[in-house]
Amino acid sequence: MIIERIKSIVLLVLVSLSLLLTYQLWYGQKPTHLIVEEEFERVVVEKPRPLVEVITPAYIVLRTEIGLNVLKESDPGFYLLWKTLSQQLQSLTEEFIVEENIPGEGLTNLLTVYLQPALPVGSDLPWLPGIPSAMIGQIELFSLNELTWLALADSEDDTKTYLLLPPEKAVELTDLIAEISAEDRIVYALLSTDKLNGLAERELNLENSIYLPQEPVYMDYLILRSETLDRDLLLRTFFIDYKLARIIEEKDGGLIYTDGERGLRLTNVGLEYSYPRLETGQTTISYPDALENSSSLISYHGGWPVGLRLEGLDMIRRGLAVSYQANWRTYHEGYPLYINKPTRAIFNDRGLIHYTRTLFVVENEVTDNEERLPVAEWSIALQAALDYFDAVNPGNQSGLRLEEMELGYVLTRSANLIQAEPVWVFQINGLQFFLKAADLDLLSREELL
Amino acid sequence: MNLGRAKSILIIAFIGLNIFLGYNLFWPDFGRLTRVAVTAEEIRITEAMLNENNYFLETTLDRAIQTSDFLTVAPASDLQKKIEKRLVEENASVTVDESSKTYSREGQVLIFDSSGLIRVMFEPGVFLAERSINLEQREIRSKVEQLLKEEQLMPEEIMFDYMEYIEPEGIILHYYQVHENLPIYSGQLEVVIDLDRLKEVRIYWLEPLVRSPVREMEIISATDALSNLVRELGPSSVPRRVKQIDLGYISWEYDAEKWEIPPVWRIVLDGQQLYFINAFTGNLEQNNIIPEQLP
Repeated sequence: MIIERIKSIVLLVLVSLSLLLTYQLWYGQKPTHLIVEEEFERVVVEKPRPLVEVITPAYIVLRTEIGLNVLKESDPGFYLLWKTLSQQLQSLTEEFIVEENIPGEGLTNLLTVYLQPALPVGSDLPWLPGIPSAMIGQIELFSLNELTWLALADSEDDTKTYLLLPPEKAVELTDLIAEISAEDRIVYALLSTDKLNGLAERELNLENSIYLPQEPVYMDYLILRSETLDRDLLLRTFFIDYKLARIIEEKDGGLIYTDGERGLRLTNVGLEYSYPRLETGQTTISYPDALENSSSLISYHGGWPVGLRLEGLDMIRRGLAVSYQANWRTYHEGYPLYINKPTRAIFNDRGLIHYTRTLFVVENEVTDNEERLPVAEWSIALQAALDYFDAVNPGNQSGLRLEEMELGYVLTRSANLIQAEPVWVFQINGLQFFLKAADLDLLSREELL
Repeated sequence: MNLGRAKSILIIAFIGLNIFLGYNLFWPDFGRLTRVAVTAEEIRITEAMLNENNYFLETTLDRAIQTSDFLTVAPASDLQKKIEKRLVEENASVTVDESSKTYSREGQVLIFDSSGLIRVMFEPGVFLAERSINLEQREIRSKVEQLLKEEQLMPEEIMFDYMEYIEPEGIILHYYQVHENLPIYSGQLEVVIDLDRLKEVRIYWLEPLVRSPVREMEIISATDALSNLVRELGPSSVPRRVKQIDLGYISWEYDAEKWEIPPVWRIVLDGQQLYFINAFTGNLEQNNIIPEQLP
């Protein structure tokens, strides 16, 4: 009897257990060790730069008694002068606008600031709050007797707005200009069409204001090294969960990370990211907001390298898709560094579509063993550039436009070293090319890193 | 039969049943029903979603929770070396350029591309059978595979995939690579037949180097993969049938030293269109995300 009762209990337990197991099997149960916790790690990156620090001038021209001084990004004095001027523009309001024309005669131009990209000013913006919104492409500082004016030229129609500076601000600026001008600097001159045509013995049009050195210039070869970034942090800024990204090791040492939708390629001089799915998006944000976005992108994806300057911000349309494209360039002591893939971001309301960022820093200048490199004089360099242009464009003798001419550096690889070679940079009729600064030999695009 | 005996029989039967159920539920390495991820209800919901969008499920789904990892691969060099060795022994003429090496011998041209792709072109072609298109698939395969073995062009760990008919009377046989019982869909062998002759063999084979167990992760279920695909493709204007959904690995062709490839769900629609859903991310795998390949 007891055995039968035990049998009944055992049978009941077994039936219950089989029901439970069948339920588990049919409806499923995730083993706890396989439940993946969603990880939303906090990514701590560099703080985005405020709007007032996003735009810096393309160059600032100072007028001194002996000629012109040209200051560019990373040039000593450039930041201080721009910071002072920018702060003054932030504190000036519509009450300083001069309605009538300022005197034409006897005015002294103290400085000219070329802004590319244009500086947005007006309501809701840090610069000149309260005045109607405008985009400023050029700022000039004039003085006459005790009065000092700022002339702001609109980037689109060149109309000018004059602001009378309060005496203390005028003194602050003129003192700073005098201080910077007193430093030992190369004297520049503005290239004029007459001078250009006399030299080239043909019709050559000037597209932009080009300032050229009027005295011997010496430049150094630069040795560069890869910028060290926290790779894990960098990956986390591009991929929500970078563990899902697979790695492709290229034959040239490059590394590609991709999750099947977006890809990130890392080399020792740069990174390139793309997310083609977002290409079809739209952009609805304003130009100032796009400026701030571009700053955030740099801060978030690797941070701001030394000497990086925003060169342009344009809205681009491809079919129905609209996006912003921001271009940056790195400068070293006032000279731009050219590389095949400079820092650039394409983004829209959906996010970052394409991004390239240079990953190098200047380690040292090669001055120990070699003499500083004497740069070919500008007139000789220009002649060499025209000869090259004629060689690649035979028969195109008229209607030439000189769009760009400046000294800079080009990144090349020599053995295992990454170096920057001094060059004359030219752009004629849309064709950009580089001549070695000393011997004016052509540096082909293939030689660029 | 008395009640006591009946109880004994039932107890034995239920012990057996419970052992079976327990085995399927808790034995981690055996049984497809182990660690069920997809419930019957989820399959029903997925089917309803598919039908709403004019897709129809005509295959069974793998219902287990599975984990997987990345597989590191490199272009396979063994097969190329073996073929080249034979060509050198047979004094085949060779020309080399920047991206490829071409061997020629009577009736054959072999091109070894730097990406790892091997092309063997037969001229005027190797006779298989009069009007091959009329043969049974099994017969065609058998003749082709025999020929590949004779020509030493048959890699190991290979699996027949499908046969594609090309107008007017051409056939392409598709094979894929297998590694540890999982397909590597990008390791491919294709045999082109035109009328009665085998004209070309294309081989792109990968060398599996290492799996990354430290990166082992749970993959998405087959139902999630199907849902993601339909979301990606949108509703269909004509009925489309899901013929197959299998787990494997996919890789695009890279001119690289080595690379990791992810697990994917391969979904075959209407027996001819292949889609690959990344089994980790659930994204539809596309071949245009590598930055340097952008325009």
